Amino acid sequence: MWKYVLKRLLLIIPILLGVVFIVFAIMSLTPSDPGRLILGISASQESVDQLNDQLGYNRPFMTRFLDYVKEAFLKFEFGNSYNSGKPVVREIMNNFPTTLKMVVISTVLYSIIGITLGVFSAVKQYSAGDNILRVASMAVAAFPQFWLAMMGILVFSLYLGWLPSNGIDNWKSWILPIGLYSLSASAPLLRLTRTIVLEQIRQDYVRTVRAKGAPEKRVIWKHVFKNSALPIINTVGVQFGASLGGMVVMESVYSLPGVGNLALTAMRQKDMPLIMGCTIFMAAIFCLMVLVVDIVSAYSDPRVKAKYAG
Amino acid sequence: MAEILLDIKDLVVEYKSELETVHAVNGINLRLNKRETLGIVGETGAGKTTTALSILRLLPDRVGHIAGGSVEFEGRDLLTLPESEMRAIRGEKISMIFQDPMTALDPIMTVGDQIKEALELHNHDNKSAEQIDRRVDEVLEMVGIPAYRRTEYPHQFSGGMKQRVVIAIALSCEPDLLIADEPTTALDVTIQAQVLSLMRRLKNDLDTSMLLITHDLGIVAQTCDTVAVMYAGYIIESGTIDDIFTGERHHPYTVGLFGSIPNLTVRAERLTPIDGLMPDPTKLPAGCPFAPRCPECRAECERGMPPVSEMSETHRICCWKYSSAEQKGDDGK
Repeated sequence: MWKYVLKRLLLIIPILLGVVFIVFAIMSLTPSDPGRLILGISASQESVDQLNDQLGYNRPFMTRFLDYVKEAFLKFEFGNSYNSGKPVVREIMNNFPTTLKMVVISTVLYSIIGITLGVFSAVKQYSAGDNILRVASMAVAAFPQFWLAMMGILVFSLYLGWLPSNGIDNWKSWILPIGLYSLSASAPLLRLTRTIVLEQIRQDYVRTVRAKGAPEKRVIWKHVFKNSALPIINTVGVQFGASLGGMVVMESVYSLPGVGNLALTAMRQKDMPLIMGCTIFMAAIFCLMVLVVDIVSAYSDPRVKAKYAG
Repeated sequence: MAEILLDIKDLVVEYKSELETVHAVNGINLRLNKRETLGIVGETGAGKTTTALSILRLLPDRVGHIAGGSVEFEGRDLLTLPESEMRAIRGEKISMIFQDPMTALDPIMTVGDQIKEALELHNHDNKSAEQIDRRVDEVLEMVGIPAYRRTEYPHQFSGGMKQRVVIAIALSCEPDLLIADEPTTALDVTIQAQVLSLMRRLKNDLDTSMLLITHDLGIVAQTCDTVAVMYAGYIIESGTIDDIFTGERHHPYTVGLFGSIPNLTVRAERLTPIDGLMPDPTKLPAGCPFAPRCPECRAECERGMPPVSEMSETHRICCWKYSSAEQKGDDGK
């Protein structure tokens, strides 16, 4: 098992190198002028050129790329943001707690809503409740997040005036972004859970359990749900990893200082070191979460566990 | 006269979908005495499994439903019992062995826990956890699996061993009636013999009655006391093992069934299968369901369902050939 984990951890390195290469290449292809960005429009062309030279911006692509990789992967040195002048790592770490708080709370929320309603929907297939849930989840899943976010502002901030529309002042500021994100993420999870549970409920082993005389509650939670849990954990885990890299839509609509918003601003300003830092951070945290999900599934499924034993 | 354990009367089962109604079981009568084995024979789709599932009321939700008749078990009609009482019967009084052991066990629960579950669900005399654990070991040893394998998962067992686990679950509470739905169909021939002899031995040791569903007449001959031959949801012939295997008079379908088995003692170039297919259960013919395939089909066969004719006290045939009018003629000779 440990050998497997180590192998997977080492595999993250080439993935990150690939990510760095792609982003680096794209950034080099777009016209940008870091010297001008740092010094501002009022600075003379000479001093801008001089700074560009100093930053090594005029060197060939491969030299700059290898230099960046050496600094980043060997010394964990990601440079300073062109815009604020602060180290990239500190910028990301300043923004991460906001994202983390949002992601953790909303993951718990939408998992509870999506999974319980999904199981209910499957167990009561074709009932009125199931029909309502199916239509509702389809509708919610069809609305784009940014639309939901703006409707939230329109209704709760503008008309009702109950909740703030941007920034973080107190606990109320979290309600709209977290609530709406959870709502929109619970819809696809509900549909997934319903499908998986329905597939399990038709399996032969369920009939065996019923033939033992087990009450329906036990059949569902002790057998059907346990067997359905694995693919659900997989989906939620991977989504958790993806959103830890920033909940871009919610953070930007509600102007929250999260990693997603940070990356978005960096991209708008062509803040190269910050863009690179954010991308590597998102990719690394995603890879780690996928690994965690794989380990969890290996431990909860005896069939998968047998494969990695020893 | 032996004591009656299970008495099925005029059982009608349908599978309904929005498009059509499948007439799976059409008013069958079955009787099983205590400590006896009743075999239900018939080809795929004859309604054997549906009959078995109806007894336990485990027909698929929504689609399958019992449209009429009664299933009396120890004098009580199972079809009118509330669900909670039915649950108390499942696994304790009546248990079932399923056709495919590969899929009949929960893949992420150890076999020991799966047996334990049945014991815990019917733990009336408040046995302690240790007593139940000991019983799990006992049951495993009983079906020929070493007790230390209780912590293993189904994927670590072979098909035959899995079926032993299924049997262990079914027999853990020492039921009065064991329903075995083609218990050996999915197994290798050598394993089939082992599993069958195990089932026969355990049935005798535990004083259990058995309802054995199969399409294998050889298994019936070895195992059963009485036999019912099913065709298109009807029981077309029933009787003791002697009535069916050695009797003179048979339903043409039964004759056809025996004609389809290879016989080692008689030299024959080829088998004589029954021509044609079973009728579509969504639109059964008005007359005898076997009429379209029957070599002895006559005019009245297509007009109406033949009545049941009693050949002897135990032997019944449902065919116009033996209908009362003709029998009177026979008696007159």
